Amino acid sequence: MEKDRGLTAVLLVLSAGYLASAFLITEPEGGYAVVGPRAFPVAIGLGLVACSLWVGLTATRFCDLFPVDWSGVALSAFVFLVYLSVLEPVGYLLTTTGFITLESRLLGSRALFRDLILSVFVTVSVYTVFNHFLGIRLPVGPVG
Amino acid sequence: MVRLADMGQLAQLGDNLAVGFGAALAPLNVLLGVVGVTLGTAVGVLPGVGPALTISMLLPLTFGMDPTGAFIMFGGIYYGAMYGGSTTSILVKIPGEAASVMTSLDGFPMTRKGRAGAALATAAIGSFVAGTFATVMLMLMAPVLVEVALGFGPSEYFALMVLALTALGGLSGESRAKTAFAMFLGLALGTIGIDVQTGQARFTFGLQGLLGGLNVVIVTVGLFAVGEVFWYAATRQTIGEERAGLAGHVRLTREDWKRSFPAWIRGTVIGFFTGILPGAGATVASFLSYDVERRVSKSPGEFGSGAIEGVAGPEAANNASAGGSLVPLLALGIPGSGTTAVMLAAFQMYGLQPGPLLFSQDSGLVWGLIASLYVSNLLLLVLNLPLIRLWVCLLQVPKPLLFSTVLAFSTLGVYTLNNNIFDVAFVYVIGVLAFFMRRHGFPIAPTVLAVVLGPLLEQQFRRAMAISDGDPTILLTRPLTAVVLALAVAAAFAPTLGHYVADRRRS
Repeated sequence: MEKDRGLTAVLLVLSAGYLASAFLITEPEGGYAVVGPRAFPVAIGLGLVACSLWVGLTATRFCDLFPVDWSGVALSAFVFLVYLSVLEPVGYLLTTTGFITLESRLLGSRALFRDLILSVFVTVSVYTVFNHFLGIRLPVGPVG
Repeated sequence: MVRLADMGQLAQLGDNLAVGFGAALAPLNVLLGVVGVTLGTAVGVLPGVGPALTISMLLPLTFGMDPTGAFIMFGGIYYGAMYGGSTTSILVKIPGEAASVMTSLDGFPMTRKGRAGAALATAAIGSFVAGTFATVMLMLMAPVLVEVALGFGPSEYFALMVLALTALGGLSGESRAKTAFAMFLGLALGTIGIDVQTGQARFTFGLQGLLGGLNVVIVTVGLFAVGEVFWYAATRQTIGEERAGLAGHVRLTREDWKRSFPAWIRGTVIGFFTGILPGAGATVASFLSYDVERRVSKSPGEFGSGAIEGVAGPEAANNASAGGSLVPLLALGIPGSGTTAVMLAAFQMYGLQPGPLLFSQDSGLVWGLIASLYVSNLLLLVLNLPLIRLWVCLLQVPKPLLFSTVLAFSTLGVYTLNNNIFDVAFVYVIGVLAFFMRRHGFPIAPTVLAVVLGPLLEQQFRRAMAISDGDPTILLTRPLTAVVLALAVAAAFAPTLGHYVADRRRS
């Protein structure tokens, strides 16, 4: 199988970026530490660069084995991002009910009514347990 | 004299066990044990949700709990997941856990032949035998290791952690190079935050939320839960799923008992000692057990088409390895698997440091946990044999609904850590990273283990250097350190060398 040059390039760039950042860590002057805060990250950075080269020399294109539905994963990731963004302002109950129903549909479910009922049940149960039994306040939003 | 000393040790063990059972059998702790094994079996049955993720999700909820009760629940989840993992391997072709992959090789063909009941029974009874043996061995070996560990200094701990990381080949995915990269990636993530010795901020990029470092819960939830859901979203249309029903009774014939028993014993011994080895874990244990069963079998040709030993051995092995992996965690504070890494984080959350001192300072907790594992094992046998049809019903839960609920619940767990949306945003970033890791064949578990071990590794190294006044030869002049480091080098290079020699022989 073909070697994965694209992956190797990405790994090398990331590893080199980490290594360069590690070299930028300032060692405190006059400190008592025999080994400063820079040494370990530099060693890890060197390890990352070495492993990137090793991957480049040995690994084949694994990503060809599983065809990926990019639109599916992008939509799913977008809905999750929206959920995280509105969780605090809109509140836990509304956002989580909407999120579970919508995400289930994006992941292939076609039983909208069942998903809605179950998501209301799960969300309200969790909210009750957290707020009333565990004493953990969840974001309430406008409905609170 | 020796006998008197032995009697003294036995009496001490008896006292410890009495204390442990006293704690484990307290009504609230029994209830938590039942919750743990039930949850554990459920997450074992459900593909895509493992014990490491479940314990991570529950960590924030256990903040206010008594640590003994929390760890009894976690122990139940760990053992329960190992039991439950066999159900999906036997009835559905996709194993719920990596450790159950070998079980599916013969478990699913047995189901297709209408022998699912026998496969599930040998898995459950084998798990009970292995879990009980592993707990006895944990009880006997951990205190001995504690005695030895009392003499360990920072250099020995450093060497042991290096061994744990270099032995990660056991958690290996598609290639050793990618496993090594995943491990270094975890170490790199572990360096984010303030350096505890000097107060210097590292890799925080001016973000206040990163000053305290990455919480293990954030990393675990991001890597296991979010990454898993994204992967499912990307591949659900291309990866098929073959299911078969549970027909007949869940029981073993006389012939099945005769064939299963030796496999359980062999699997148990292999599993326990593999579990003790840092980094090896349940996956390697089940693989080794399957290989041994095939080699000793009188009819090796039957393997792959429904040999009961191919289910009995690996299932016993993966359960015994769970008990084995608790030995280095409790006695040395060094995790050997993704789940025990999360358990170490749980100990740290409670301000406890597993290791030799835990046995003297919190003996009630340690022995309560060990005693609860006996109780959990018994509960699991009851839950898994007569109630197996109930667990099979869980397989009917639609995956889209399951994954979206897991995602919502994981988010909630992380949010409640600090009531901070920044933590949740970081889970998202780690989830995207996990997706690309899966896409390119990088294993996830080495990253989790390295995130937990990395800061400890650095701390012990710097302490060792402080003691030796900066002289690195301390790592070679202390005999135990040198031996363990030599083992670490061997663990890192032996497989590559082995492949090289094999290739040379072939050519």
